[in-house]
Amino acid sequence: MKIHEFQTKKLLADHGIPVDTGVVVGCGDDVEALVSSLGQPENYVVKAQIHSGGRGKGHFIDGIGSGVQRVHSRMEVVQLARKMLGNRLATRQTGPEGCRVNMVYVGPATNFCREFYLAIFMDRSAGMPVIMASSAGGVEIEEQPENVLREYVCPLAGLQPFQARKLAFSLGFNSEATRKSFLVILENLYRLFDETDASLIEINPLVETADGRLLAIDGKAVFDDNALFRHPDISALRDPAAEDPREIQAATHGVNYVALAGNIGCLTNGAGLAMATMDLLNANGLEAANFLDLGDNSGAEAVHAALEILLQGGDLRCMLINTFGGAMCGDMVAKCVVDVFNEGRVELPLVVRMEGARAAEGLDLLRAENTLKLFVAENLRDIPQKIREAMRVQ
Amino acid sequence: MSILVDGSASVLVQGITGRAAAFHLPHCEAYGTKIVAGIRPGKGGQFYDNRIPIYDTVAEATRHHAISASLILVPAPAAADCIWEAIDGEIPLIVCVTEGIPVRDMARVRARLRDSHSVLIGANCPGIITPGEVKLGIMPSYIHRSGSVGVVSRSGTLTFETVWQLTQRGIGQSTCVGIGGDPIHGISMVDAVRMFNDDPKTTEIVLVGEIGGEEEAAAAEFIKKHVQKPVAAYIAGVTAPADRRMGHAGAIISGAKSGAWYKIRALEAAGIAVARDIAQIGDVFCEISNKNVPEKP
Repeated sequence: MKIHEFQTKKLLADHGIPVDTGVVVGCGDDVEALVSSLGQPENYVVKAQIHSGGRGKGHFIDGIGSGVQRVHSRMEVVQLARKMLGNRLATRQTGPEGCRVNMVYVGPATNFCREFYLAIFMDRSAGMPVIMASSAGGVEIEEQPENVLREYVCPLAGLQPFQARKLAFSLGFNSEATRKSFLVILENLYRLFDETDASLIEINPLVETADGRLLAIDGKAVFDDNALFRHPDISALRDPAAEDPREIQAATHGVNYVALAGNIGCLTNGAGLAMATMDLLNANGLEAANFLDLGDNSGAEAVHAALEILLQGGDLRCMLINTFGGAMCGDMVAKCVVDVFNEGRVELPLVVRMEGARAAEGLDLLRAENTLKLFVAENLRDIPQKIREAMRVQ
Repeated sequence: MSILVDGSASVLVQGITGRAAAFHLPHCEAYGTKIVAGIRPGKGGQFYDNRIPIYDTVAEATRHHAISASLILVPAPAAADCIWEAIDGEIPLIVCVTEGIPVRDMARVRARLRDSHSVLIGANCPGIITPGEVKLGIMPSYIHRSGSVGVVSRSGTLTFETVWQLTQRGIGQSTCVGIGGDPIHGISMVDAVRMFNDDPKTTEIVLVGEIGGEEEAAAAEFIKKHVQKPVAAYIAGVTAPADRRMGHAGAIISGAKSGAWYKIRALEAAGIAVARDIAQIGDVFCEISNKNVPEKP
């Protein structure tokens, strides 16, 4: 789960890491009143809050510049914030259609002499958290991998003081006071990472001011979805407006759903089979409307919900059921399909390939239902052919 | 012969009174798996199906039984603790099927596994089966057939697909192991390939991977250096969008090396035949093996 920059900064601040203090304005807010609470800084920074990196290099699709801008006066701030709100910001991560901005962060622009990159993420290959740090902060870290320092942390023992010292000296914190504040920041950052089951916490940049203070002026955090059950405080930071409502609905039923661009609705069990099905269609000139992984332990209620979510997709031309059940029974899936299609008077042609637990019973159930436009694929290889036939009938 | 487990295994089931166990244990037992004891804290002294003794702790179970493997079928919040308890009980093989274990818990488990007496399969996996002998997991039994192909996979359903295509062509398997779809898990793809390579009964290997992580590329490197046996592979997710988690916690493209095409090229560069789609894995296997003329099933 991703959260916004301003939420990340609040978490950092709560964990004893100095951040620049600004305000967040939403669509209905009195921008002027909120911004006036910042006093009279020399310059302001105005930042669109969306779940995407590269906001500074992105652009609003109606051409009011990038997602991170520096302005002089309070009036400019108010104007810019109003333009950003409700507008769509496109970055290299969002694609050209961009992402709607519902919140804007406004803060005093900080003057600094050096910028650093500091992050902790869970390194899957090493199987442990790794701290990444660089004295060239402020830019995308992927662009300069050779300058990045890495320090792996034993997940049982936690961050050791020598590791923090090593990084502090390597980053060139020569004054003792600054070095000490870095050690405190890193210790707190690791504690935050560990306590919240984060998969990534990034400060970019961490800046050093002329008087030697360190300050986090941008932050990003991603949390392990599997661990949210033990972090109600983190779960509460979820911004439903930043996510596809169908994905949220699917998730409440334990179903993994990702919308894609095609017109063939796919109901599958297992993440691997769901992906392989997308690939199989694509290799045959067909395109899936979605990724959908029921999970092998899904019950009827989840299958019902999944079918309803799939049918919400507008321009479907065909529905494909492709299951290979270990625990999930074919007849249960078939019964759900019959119920949902009959209740909703769904006329969409249905291509079914079923294998695994009680698959034969499932197919029998479907075949007995003469209201369905049913096409049974004998095996995986037969699926594209059956979809083409089904689409011709439609 | 097989890897990791054979018909002589005496098995402990952690979570023996749960819903998952109620569904899967009868299938495991019907397959010939010898379940000797179960764990359910608070139900020690009772019996599963009036036959199999239940204990409160692994320590107690190991005092009464020689246990060679543990099958863990508990919900995610308790699973890492169960794995840890099995490691502490020095159980040689631990199979954890559970999906949804927090990554931090698995990082700690993996650190604990070093210098332990245990090997972990999973979590978030279908388990392991040595066809005709023993099944420790949730895979449908009928799709397997005893033989000499080693199958290793990160995905449950894709293991089923692959195995079923082999079996339908009359080609049997030595052992099929699902290493799991989580970012941090027990034995790696390289570990499994190494074991299959060392197993005299295994004559060919099929490797099924997906987007996320760098295990397939590492396996390609290992195979290039050390493996003479023919290897066929399939990688899922060539059409997966970047930066989106595709079901499995570990299936996410983050960085070029974790994408499907990078893995496919790495495998092909190591001389491995890669099926372009999952429907072709059986055919691709027949091309690389000496099993061009399938035996009658």
